[in-house]
Amino acid sequence: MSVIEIPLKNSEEVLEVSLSDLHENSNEILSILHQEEAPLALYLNFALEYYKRGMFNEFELFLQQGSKAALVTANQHKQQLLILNCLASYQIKKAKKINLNDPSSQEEKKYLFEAATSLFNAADKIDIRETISWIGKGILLLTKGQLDRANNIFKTIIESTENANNIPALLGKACISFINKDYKGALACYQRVLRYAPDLKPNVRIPIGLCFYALGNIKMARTAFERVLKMEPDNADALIYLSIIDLNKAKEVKNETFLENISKGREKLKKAYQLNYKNPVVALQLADYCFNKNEYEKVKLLANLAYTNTNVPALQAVAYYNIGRVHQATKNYEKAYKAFAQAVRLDPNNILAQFGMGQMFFYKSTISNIVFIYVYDETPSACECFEKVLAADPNNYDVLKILGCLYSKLRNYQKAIDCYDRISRIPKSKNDELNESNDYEVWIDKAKLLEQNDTKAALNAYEKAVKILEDTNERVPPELWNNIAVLYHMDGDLNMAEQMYHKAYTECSEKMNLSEVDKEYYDGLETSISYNVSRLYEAQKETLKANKIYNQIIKNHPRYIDAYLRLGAIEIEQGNYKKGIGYYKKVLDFDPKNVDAYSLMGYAQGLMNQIKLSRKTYEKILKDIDRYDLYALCAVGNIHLIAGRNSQNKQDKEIFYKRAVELFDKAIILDNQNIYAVNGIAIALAERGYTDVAQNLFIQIREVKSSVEAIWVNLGHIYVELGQYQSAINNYENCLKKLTNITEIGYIYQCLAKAYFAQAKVEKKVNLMNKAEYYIQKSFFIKPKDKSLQFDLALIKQEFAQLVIDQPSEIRTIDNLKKALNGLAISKKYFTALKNVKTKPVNYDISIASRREEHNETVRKAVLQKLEEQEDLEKKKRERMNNIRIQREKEMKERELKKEEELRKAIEEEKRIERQREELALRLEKEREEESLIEEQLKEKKKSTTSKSKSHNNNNNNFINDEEDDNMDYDDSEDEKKMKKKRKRNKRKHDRDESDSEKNYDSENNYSDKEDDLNFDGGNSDEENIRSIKKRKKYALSKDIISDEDEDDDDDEVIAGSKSNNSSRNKIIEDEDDNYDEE
Amino acid sequence: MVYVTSQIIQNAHEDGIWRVCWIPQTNVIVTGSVDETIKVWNDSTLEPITTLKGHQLGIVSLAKNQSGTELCSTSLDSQIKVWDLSDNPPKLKSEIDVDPVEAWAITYQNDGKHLLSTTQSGNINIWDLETGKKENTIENEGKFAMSIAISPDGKYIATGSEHGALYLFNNETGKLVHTFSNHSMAIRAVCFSPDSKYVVSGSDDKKINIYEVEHGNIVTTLYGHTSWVLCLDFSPDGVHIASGSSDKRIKIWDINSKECIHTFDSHTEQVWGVAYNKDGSKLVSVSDDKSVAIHTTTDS
Repeated sequence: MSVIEIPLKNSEEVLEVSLSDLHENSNEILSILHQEEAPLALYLNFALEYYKRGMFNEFELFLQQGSKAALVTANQHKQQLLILNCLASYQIKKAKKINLNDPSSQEEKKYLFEAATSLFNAADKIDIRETISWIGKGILLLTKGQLDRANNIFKTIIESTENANNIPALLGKACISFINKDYKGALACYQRVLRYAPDLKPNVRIPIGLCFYALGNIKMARTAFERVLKMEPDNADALIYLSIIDLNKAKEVKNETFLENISKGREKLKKAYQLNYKNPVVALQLADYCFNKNEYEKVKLLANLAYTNTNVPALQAVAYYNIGRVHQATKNYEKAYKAFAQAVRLDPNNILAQFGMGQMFFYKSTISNIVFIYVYDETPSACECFEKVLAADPNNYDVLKILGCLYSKLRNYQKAIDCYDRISRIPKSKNDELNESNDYEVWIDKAKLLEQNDTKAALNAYEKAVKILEDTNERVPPELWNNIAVLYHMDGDLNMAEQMYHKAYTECSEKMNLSEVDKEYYDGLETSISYNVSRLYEAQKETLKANKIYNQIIKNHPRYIDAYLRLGAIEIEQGNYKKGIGYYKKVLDFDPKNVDAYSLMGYAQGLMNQIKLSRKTYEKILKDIDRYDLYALCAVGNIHLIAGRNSQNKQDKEIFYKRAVELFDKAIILDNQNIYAVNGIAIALAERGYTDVAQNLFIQIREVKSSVEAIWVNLGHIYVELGQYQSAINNYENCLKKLTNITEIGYIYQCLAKAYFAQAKVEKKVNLMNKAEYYIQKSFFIKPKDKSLQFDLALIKQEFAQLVIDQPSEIRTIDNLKKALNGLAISKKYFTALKNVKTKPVNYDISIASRREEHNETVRKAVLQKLEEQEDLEKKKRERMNNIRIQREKEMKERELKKEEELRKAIEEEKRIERQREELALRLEKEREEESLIEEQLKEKKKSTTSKSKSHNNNNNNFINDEEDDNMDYDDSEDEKKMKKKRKRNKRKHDRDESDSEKNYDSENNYSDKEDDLNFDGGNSDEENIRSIKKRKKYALSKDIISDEDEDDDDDEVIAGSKSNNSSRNKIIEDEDDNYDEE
Repeated sequence: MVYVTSQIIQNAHEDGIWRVCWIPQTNVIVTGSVDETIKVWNDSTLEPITTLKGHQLGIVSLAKNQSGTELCSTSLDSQIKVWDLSDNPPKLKSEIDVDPVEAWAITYQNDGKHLLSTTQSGNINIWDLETGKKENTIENEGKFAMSIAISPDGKYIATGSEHGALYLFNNETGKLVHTFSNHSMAIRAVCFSPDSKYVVSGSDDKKINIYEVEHGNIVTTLYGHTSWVLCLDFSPDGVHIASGSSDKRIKIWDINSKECIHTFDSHTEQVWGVAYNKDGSKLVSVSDDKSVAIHTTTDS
């Protein structure tokens, strides 16, 4: 149809308008249509013709005029609807063209959508059931992104029987399904479309292929695209998708078909590009291809082309992603970051872009590592990106690896460990190139993470990495060996550490020889390894070797500060303070704000007893470099503490203590775990008499860090102060066990002696005094020049004598008295010497020495007297014992005699009885004879005398019976007598034993009774005395403890290390002094 | 070289052992302890022969005369006791009362009749052992002299001070010849080489310094101990030095290579005394851990 006929109004004639004339005559045609009140269909026809010719303005104009004309015409609803729909669709189309990322025209877009909406509303007014309008509305919603509503509309249309085959609705529904990743649903819809309209353009097989592809059925997808290509050999979409399939295949199957697939894909891609260079998918695919060929400029061009030719954010995102990765590949990270950010903004689901952005964040955080704060700005964002990627692909090995690394950086230990755990749980599949069992990097990362908390596990991880490397015949990098060595080093396995360092060193030298490029790096690494090795030598006490290496390092790298610091420390350790400080000064020449150098210098000056200089050095740190430097704060605090202790003026003292506490306070605010600061405060408290608070603090510190010797000593002091000597002794002894700083050993022995001395005096126990003597000797032997120890020794000897004197005679021994006497001689010697010194001594009082010396004589006399008494007593005791023994023996003899007498008597008695019996027998015999005589007489007389004889007989019987009893008794005694004798002898023996043991027992009883008495008595008589002593002691001790604490700071050497040799050592005497007066 | 600890007697004394002497002439080892006793041991079996009692406090110094017939001991009780070793068992010969800390470290004059003792004033007292009188005093600046040694040829006396100076005196004139200030802390041990060419000092600064006697210069410093050096002895061949330290170790040093060639870890407390036997094949050491140990130090 080359002409459109316009029926003329009120006539049968028509005006023919040739389509070829359309170009010039749009206005004319319009006015004719208007004048002739042409049917609406004509407006529509003309509009469509214009549309076909790409004259969209005219197209719109005609439609608009048509819709206007419709207002005055009737019965042309159908046409009106079509016009309205057309117009609306055109608005939608125009709106679609407006890019989302063009902010200036967003208003217009909105306006266009509104226009479309109102047109649809107008259409609805005409016929609300019109399918076309509904489809239009569906498309509008779809375009506006209101997928659910659009989907509802399409669904309703399709589900109505008359519109079951409505192609646009089906397409709409399929499209929405596809967007919603319901590929099956989409496929079903497209297939329905295919069934009803097999020749539909654009070819519905394309989206079908895409659905298959998305569903993973590459074969079917390929068939679909190939079919399209058969139908339309120039279909760019089919070409591009097929090329993608080919190229992907090439990526997956790396065999001989690789090149074939590549070239196949490439050809198609080229053809597609030639056919439609504007197709964004083609452009992007080509860009990807070019990227792999490193043709970055082409990639950029293609990406731009794709970007400008699409409205689909996802594709635009891909375009930006491509630009981004070009920048990334050319190391233009800032630009890459921006491009990735844009891509992610356009399509947050673009995992590749997220990944890229994560990498960029990561990169940014790495460079800004120096400026610490930024790390925390960037890294979390990077984490977010990677987490998003991970959400889409939970088993993505690379992402997990990077995240693990990132979280390690963020010190989010748990999350990092989680990542590595997840890596371990990734199901193993053969296709993955990298996995936990063959990727040494992941083990190294993991080891680095574990290093913080679990040295052993970290070592295991490193060793796994080493194993992977060795299994694959790769060289183990020197850094890895170095890290392993450091772990062993820190774990205290110095031998293993040395071996590993050696490996690191060898590896490093080899690397250096291999390439010139990395020489500088490996040279640096070699230096670090050397440094570590010399630290190891230091740990092995091979100072000479360490020294050599440090000097070598300095020779090669004159600014290797750590080497200077270590050299300085070694010199200081060996007592070469000036030389040591020389090294520190060198460091300060290079780096005038090196806190370490200043700290170490302050420490060394403290050791040299240059307290003022030391303080100034530390204060310089606080003033000029870092006023929050904990070490310096504590060090200056300690110096003030000592100043307070040494100060004679009470006011000054208070000021010094206050300042010290202020400094410690500051340190604690900055670091509430700083036990050195707490210790300092506790000392300040203790010295000012707040013993209880100080005690609590010390105990708390001990719980936190029992390894610090000073704490044990300080607690010991506190317990002495509190009179709890056993606890004090326990603490001191514990300290002795842990002692690392030998210079303190003499002092701790002295503390122990002091505690035992005090305990001995309170408990009046000689053996405790012996302990005190033992420890003071040990202290003396170590510090023979310390005169306070001589004084202490003399005092202990004297007090030992006193203790023995005060002992009750029952437990006092002559041995101890003799020892006391000898001791007094020694004591006197020492006191005399101490009294007669030329220069005024610093750590004891001459006047006390002299008084003690005098007192010595008194004690000596007492001892002599007691010795005499005791000897007398012992003599008497011996005599008494002798007497008792003699008495006992005498008694025993008497008893024996008595017994013998009794025995004799008994025997006599027996004899007597026998005699009687014999007599009786004789008498009986006689009587019998008489009887027989009488019988005979009776026989002669008979009758009258019978009864008489009977009774007589009876009597006789009785008598015999009696006799028999007696006889039996006698028989018994024959045997028994012997037995009895035996028994008696035994008994006597036993008696003697018993009496002996009784004696012992008695004396024991006496002993213990008397001891009890003694304790009790002693308690009574001396109770007051003791109390007063205790009281006075407390007072004096508090003075004393001040000088005690003095030493604590030496213990604090870790921080303070300042030592005052001049400061008066503690002496036992002072507290004794009042005591002595009393005596 | 075989370096092994061949014998060790635990609890040889009731308390820490501070001093040891090896007397080859009578084949005994003598030890002095804080437990106030001196014990004499058979040097091959390490069986105790006798215990010498009498000191009232710990033994701080022991010295033998060159012929090995006599032993002197000093104690914190400020007495010098002279023991006759020719008797079996040894007997107390004489005692000298001294002022406190006026006889800290002691050594015999080579004539065997005099005893040198260091004092807290830094002077050296010379005691006539026959009379028990102080015969002479070598004056020196007032720093506590912790250790003393006399050169085998009798020409020099060396004392080590509490502040780290090593003084070298002419034995004949009593004049100070050299002062070496290379140590920064107390010198607890000095000893001469058998040929009298070198004098060696061990200090709390952990170092052992070797000096040339004639020229008065330092030859070398031996680093290795990690704590105070407490005692030293030269091997009779003059090749090795043995040192004991608060680090609980005994080290054997080679004079020529100036290196530590062996370290014994036999003790659990500080090692207060070391002494070689006559031919240097054995070394005895005593420690605060109450033990006496014998170490083999020969090729065989």
